[in-house]
Amino acid sequence: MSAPAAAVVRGLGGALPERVVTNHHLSTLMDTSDEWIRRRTGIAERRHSGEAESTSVLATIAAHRALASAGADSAGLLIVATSTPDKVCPATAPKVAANLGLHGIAAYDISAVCSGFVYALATASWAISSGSAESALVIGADTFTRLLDPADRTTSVIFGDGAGAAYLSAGTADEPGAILASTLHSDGAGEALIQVPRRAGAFFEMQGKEVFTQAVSAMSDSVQTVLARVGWTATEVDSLIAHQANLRILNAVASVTGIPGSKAEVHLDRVGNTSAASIPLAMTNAATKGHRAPNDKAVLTAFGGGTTWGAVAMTWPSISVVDPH
Amino acid sequence: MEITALDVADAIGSTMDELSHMEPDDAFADLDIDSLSLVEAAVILSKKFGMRVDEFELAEAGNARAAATMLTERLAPQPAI
Repeated sequence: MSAPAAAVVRGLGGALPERVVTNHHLSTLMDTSDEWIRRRTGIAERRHSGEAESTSVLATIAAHRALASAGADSAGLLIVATSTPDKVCPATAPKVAANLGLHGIAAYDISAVCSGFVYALATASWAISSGSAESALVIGADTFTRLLDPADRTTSVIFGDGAGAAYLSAGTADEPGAILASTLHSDGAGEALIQVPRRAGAFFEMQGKEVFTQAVSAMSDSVQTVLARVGWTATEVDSLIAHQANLRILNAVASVTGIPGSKAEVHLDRVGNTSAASIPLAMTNAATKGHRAPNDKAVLTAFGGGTTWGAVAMTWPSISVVDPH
Repeated sequence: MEITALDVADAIGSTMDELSHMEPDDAFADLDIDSLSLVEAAVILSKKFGMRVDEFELAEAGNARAAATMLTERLAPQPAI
C-alpha cells in the first residue's frame, strides 16, 4: 500500500487594506507614543479596513493571489480561519468560494482566533493526506479593528486588519512546501482570557500578561512536539514563523525553544497583530523578500483565544508571490 | 539544583538590548525594566527550571541575586514529615 499523499503548499498570497495607521497617528488619539508602542510590541504601523474591505473581500483577494502564485485556477476545498466573519450566520467561506468562481466546493469557517491559520492548515492537510480533497485554499482573514475599544490603548495599538492565503495540493513529503507534522490543542478553562464578552456593545478584551505567559509556554511546547516528530533539532530550523502577536513573545519563544532568534520571521512591525491572517501574511512577506529557499525547514506556531494553540512543521515551498503591501 | 544570580540576570538581560549588561546586584528599580520584561524572564526561567515563576516574584525580589536565592530555596526538596 503506498504512503498517504502529503499536502504541499504551492502558492501564497496576502491582502492588506489601503489605510495605514501609524503609531504617531495613534499617539494623537490616546495617551501613548511611538517609542512606547515600538518598545512594548515591536509594531510601527498597522492597516485599518474601510467599509468596502470586509473580511470576505480581503480573503478573496488573498486567495486569488495564492491561486495565481501556484498557477492554479481552482481548489476542491476552501477554509476561512476567522473570528470576524462578515456575518454571524452564514459562514464567510462559501461567499469567498463563490467570489472565486468555485461554486459547489466544500467551504467552511474555522474559528480559533489567532490560532486559526494553524488549525485550518492542519485540517486541510488531513483532508489531502486522507485523499478526501485533492487541493485546498486555506485563508486566514480578520478585521479585528472593528471590535476594538478606541479608549483601550492596550488593544488599539496592537491589532491590524488583513488576510493571507495558502494553496495546497496532494504531493509527496519530499517536495518543497510539504506539511510534515502538525499538533493542535485547546484549553477551554481560559475562555475569558481573549474574548468579546457576551453583552450588547461589548468590545474585544484581552488579559495581556497572562496571555503573554501562556502564549510563550504553549507555542514553545507545540514547537518542540513537531520538531520531535520530524526529527529536527532547534538549531536546524531555518524559519520560525510564529503568530505575530508581539515581538517580545517571538523572542521569548525563540529563547525557550533554542531556535536562533535570527530565524524568527518578523512582520508585525508593518501590519501589527492580524489574528488569523498573521502567519500567512508573514509567510507571504518572507517569500516576497526572498528570506527563504525551497526546502528550508520551517515551523509555524500560534496561540489564541479559546484558548487554542498549535504548530506545523513544513519545508519552505518553491513559489513566487505578489507583494501585498 | 541551583538557580544562580547569573541565570536570572541572563533571563532578564535577554529580553531587551538595553538590559544585556545587567549585573546580579543591579536594582530592577534603577534599570529601565518594564513589566513585560519580567513576564518574559519569568516564562524563560519557568521553562528552563521546570517550575512556575511569576513576574511579581521577580519584581518583589528587586534584583537578580535576591530572586535567584528565593527561587533556589523553592527548588530545594522539602524535609520528609
